[in-house]
Amino acid sequence: MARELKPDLQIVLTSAYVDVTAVPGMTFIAKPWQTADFSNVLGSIRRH
Amino acid sequence: MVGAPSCILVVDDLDDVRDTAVTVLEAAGYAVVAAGSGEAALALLGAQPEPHLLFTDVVLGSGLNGFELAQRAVRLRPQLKIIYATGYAWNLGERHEALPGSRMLQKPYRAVELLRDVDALLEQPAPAIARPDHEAPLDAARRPQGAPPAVLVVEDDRRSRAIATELFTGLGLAVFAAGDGYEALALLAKHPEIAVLFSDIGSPASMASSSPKWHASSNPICRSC
Repeated sequence: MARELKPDLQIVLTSAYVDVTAVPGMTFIAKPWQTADFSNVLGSIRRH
Repeated sequence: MVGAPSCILVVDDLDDVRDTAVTVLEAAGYAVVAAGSGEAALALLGAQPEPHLLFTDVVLGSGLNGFELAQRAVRLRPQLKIIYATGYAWNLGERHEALPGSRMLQKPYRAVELLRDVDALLEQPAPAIARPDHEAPLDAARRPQGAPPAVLVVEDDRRSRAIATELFTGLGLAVFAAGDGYEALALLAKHPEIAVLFSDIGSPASMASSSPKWHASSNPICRSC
């Protein structure tokens, strides 16, 4: 539904329980987070 | 009323009570939208026409209560005015959960009492609602042109939401925060500058639940993940 509202929305998923790295078109960050994870997200956003 | 009528969002989990309030308000000339739960009400807040006043029962079944709904609603629409309805004698501590500038209507109320409070509150200037700093979305309209894209953090755990918000803010991004998918959808509809959705996909316990919480199997944003 989010992509219906905004088709070019970048999606970053996070969880402490499941790993969805295989979902195409989405980035996954496992909990507990590291500061570097967020920097990587920022880099991905800027490359987009 | 001159011009377009003010819009009232009526929220009550009891159909009869909700329908009665809608009938009274529509008869008085107001535009009315209605919801049977706090979660449904938050979704409506992103729709048009924009509600000017939230009239909500305090007890709303198993989901958000009226106090929690109002606190989330004013994060989406800071100018929103609030009237709570309650059939209980709330103690002083519980009444402190009511937002500044709001009103409390005791059930059973008469139509004239409802209209009196609605009319009076709509004539008052919008209250200044204090929002917790770690949850307050940055006002994108105040960001200069060329500012970085905005991130929408969706996380039902308050502490995790605060940490993610702080980390993204520290990286120079504008951040909006939502506690569930309904609130997130409303923010997405309202803020086209949101470029990134950063979302928790829930715990195993929440995935097993059939409640409309934020999780991968039934959340309204991410059905396929």
